[in-house]
Amino acid sequence: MSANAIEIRDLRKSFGPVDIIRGVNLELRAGERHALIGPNGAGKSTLFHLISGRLRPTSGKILLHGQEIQGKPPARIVHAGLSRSFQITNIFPEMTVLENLRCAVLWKLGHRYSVLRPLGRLRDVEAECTRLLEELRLTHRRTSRADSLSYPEQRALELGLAVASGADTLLLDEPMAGMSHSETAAALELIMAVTEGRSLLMVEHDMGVIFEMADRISVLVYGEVIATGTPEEIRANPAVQEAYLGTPNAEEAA
Amino acid sequence: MTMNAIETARSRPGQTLLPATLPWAAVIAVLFILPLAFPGTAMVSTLNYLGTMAIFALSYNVLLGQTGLLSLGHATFFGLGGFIATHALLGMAEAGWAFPLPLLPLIGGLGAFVLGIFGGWLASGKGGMPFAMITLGLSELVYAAAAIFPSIYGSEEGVSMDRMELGSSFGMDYGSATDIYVIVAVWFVICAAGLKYFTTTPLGLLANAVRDNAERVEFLGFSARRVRMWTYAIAAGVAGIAGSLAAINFEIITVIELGAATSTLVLLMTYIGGTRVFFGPVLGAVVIGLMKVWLSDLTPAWMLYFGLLFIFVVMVAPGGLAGILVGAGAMIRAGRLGPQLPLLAAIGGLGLLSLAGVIMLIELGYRAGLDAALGSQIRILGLPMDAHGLNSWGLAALLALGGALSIRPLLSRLETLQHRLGLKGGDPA
Amino acid sequence: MGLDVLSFSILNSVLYGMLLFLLASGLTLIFSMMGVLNFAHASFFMVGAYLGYELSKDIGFFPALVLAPLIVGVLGALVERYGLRRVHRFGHLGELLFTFGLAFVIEEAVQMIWGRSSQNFGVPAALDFTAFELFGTGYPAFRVFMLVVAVAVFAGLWLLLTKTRVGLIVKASLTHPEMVSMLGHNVPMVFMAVFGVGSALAGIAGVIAGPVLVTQPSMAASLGPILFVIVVVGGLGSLSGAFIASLIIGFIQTFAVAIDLSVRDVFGWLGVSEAPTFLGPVFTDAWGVSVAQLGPVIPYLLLVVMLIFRPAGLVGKRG
Ligand SMILES: Nc1ncnc2c1ncn2[C@@H]1O[C@H](COP(=O)(O)OP(=O)(O)O)[C@@H](O)[C@H]1O
Ligand SMILES: [Mg+2]
Repeated sequence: MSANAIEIRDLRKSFGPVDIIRGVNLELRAGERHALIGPNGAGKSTLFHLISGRLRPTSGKILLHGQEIQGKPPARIVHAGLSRSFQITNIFPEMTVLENLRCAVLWKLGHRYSVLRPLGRLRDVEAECTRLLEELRLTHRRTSRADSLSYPEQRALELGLAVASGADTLLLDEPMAGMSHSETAAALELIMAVTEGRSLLMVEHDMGVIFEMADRISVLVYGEVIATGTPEEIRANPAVQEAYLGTPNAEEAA
Repeated sequence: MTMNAIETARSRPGQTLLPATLPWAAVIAVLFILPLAFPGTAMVSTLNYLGTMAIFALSYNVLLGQTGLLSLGHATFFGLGGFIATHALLGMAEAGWAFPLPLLPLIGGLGAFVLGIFGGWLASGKGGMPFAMITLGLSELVYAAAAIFPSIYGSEEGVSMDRMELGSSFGMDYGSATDIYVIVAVWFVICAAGLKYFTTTPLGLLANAVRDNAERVEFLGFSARRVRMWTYAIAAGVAGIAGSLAAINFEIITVIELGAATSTLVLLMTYIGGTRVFFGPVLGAVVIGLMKVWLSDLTPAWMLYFGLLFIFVVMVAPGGLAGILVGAGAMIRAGRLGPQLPLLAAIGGLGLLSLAGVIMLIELGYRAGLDAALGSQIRILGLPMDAHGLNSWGLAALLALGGALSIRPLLSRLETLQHRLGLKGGDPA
Repeated sequence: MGLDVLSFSILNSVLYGMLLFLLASGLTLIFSMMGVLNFAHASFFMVGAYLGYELSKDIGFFPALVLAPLIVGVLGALVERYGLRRVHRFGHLGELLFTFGLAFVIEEAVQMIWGRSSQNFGVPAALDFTAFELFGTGYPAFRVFMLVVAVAVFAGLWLLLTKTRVGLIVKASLTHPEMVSMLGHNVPMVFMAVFGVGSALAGIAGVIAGPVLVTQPSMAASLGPILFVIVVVGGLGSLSGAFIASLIIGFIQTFAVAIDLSVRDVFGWLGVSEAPTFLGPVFTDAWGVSVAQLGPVIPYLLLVVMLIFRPAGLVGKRG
């Protein structure tokens, strides 16, 4: 077993003639919280799509716990222990919050496509959903339709779907995008709690959040990782300041 | 307008006022009363037909309402179930087996279920348009194959049977329509309960998830294709039961039962009844079934009325008849119907006037065209009219157009009122 | 098969293929712009045939060939404006079901007005002669005329698409479907126009096909599924794919009738003259299956096989 949760080797992806991911190398160590930053359009979401199986890479390797997963369908990758959230909220809009979460825990609890017992009788599902609702602070909304939730609540549910599947490796794509300052603080606390003991790779723009939560940071610019290191190293890296932060002192502004 | 009320109602499943068993007791009670209230072979035969179609529509809604799949060939399994049951009966009767007739739908249903697994495997790769197209293609294939295999499908006149050939069982000899009613009623309860149960299982929930967001399901570890395939097979199996019952009821099965017309019929029934309420399709099957039985005696235009009703539901009340009822019920419970009553009554009245105008136009049209040979004089809604008379056409057009135009301002006032009452949220767009 | 039958079958295949493409092109245009597979498209074709029949009684065939498609086009535009646009907010399923219901209603309305039996829509006298002879058999001038009309329509359509502003928007939406969403609701006129033009194309097809195919209320229901086969097999939204698929279907359906061959013949060559009876009656049925019987099945077989193995279609970009 490798010490790395995810290892990406020379990963490439092009859409037609356009190269979007241009030879990415990245390691997510087991148990670390790793932030992925980079300007808009750098290819962060595309990289997540490649890892999670939404897109097929053009070339390169992706190892999850040492096992190759590139090009596999999303469900297989979930079974191998990786799950993700989406930048654009991707939930089940016409189902209740509880039903959303039930779907997300069914696989890990082994019920899969069962028709043997009604959901109401599946104690383990109910217990797990109750726990998740509590954790996501959505208990009071359990029977609300997902599309009637407020934006931060929908983001919490989006996060919930990702963590509920029980995978030990998580990819979160801008989980706090579009939130107010106070909502961000609450969301960060939530993320720290639910990802306890798991490996986390997260796209985030808010520098304050990143320097608070990340063990390491990778910087993706134009489809390439130009630097990886601790927050201090990244802060001090002149190439990062040049390419990403624009001016040498931009981080003060963040 | 009513959509929002439905959603509110749906979003509070925990707050149902009645215990879950009460509707079922009501269903069973109604099934007991019906043949007593409508005695006579013709009536009971109609009830048998309605029950069969109700099961068929419930099975279709597993696809349309629960999984969000538009099948254009569901009658394939209704018809194949009927053929399988018929051939099973013929074979067993010849072999002299004492197989109880009420269990025959089990054979048709199982056969259709197995074929459904195969068909589902073919059709389920994608949802949406590709699914609709594959189901259309498969059903046309099966239909066209009928001409090639007369030994299975019979020729033009189909395959007939004598349901009494299997002998008596459960104290019935199955000669009378009432005996068949018992079979249909019991199977209706079994199928409805089974499908209701199915909605509460993990697979049933995943079907909803596939309907809402098939891609996300994959990222939770499931294969949307598998979910579609199994729901397709289940729907096929129950349709096969319905088809077997139809075969038993009519003692004949023809290729029409597995053709496009029958597929269309079940789609209309299910959608008009309402796809988001469990018993909606039953309501649709009863309403459309009765229209088919009674209206076809009254007017040559009954198919046209069907089509117009369907378009009306699609455009104005996508929740179907059941959606309207549930919405109204929710409003009453919330005590918000009162203030709307005068407006609703006015709209309803004008709507009826307009409807009368449309009916006159259509009936006059038939008399002027298709049925011109019957003479131009005709009684429509009790009024003597003339298909060649300007007055008749003028009155009809006036009612239809005048009613429709005068409703429009009232509708926008109703909308404002519902806004004020908090029944309507912001624009969903 | 003799050389004469072969050459006439080829001619007829091309002709039928062009007719199908006249319909499929409108369907494809509408689909590319609005993402809706219009179930009522074949119904507009039928309305075109009936109007052509009715009008040519009063004003003659050639004026009817112009007027009938115009009426059908206006009808289509009205349907878009007052029907489709309203159900748009209920999503694609709502739109699909709406056109489905419309097809149903049109079929009934046609029966109401013209009755259930077929109409005596004959070839106009001016074109009722033999165009040319091949191997001693004549080829009717009207069929040549159909071919000319179809080609002329395509030339006009091509000019419209490449030389006008609206045409350019439509053409762009064929190659860059995501652009349509960017156009969004700001171009309802374009939607209406495309729906109208698409319907009018179906109307033209109806008028020229009416005298050759039979003008009857079931003509929409029998042609509609074939059209779907064409646009799906060709690749949804692809005009060139629809063209190829139209010709393929044209050839299959024409040749299936022309080829006189059955399973029995094939086994006859192998020296097996009778169906082995011990295999049961189903095999006896299969024994008698002829190519002509298989003809109607092949398009659907093609559709299912295509969707399973190549869901994007022959030339399709979108799956
Ligand atoms: N399916 C696609 N086809 C073509 N280009 C794409 C596709 N998906 C993403 N892109 C392009 O790839 C680039 C990276 O996008 P994305 O990964 O979303 O960036 P980020 O998440 O870093 O902001 C963008 O320029 C985007 O336009
Ligand atoms: Mg992104």
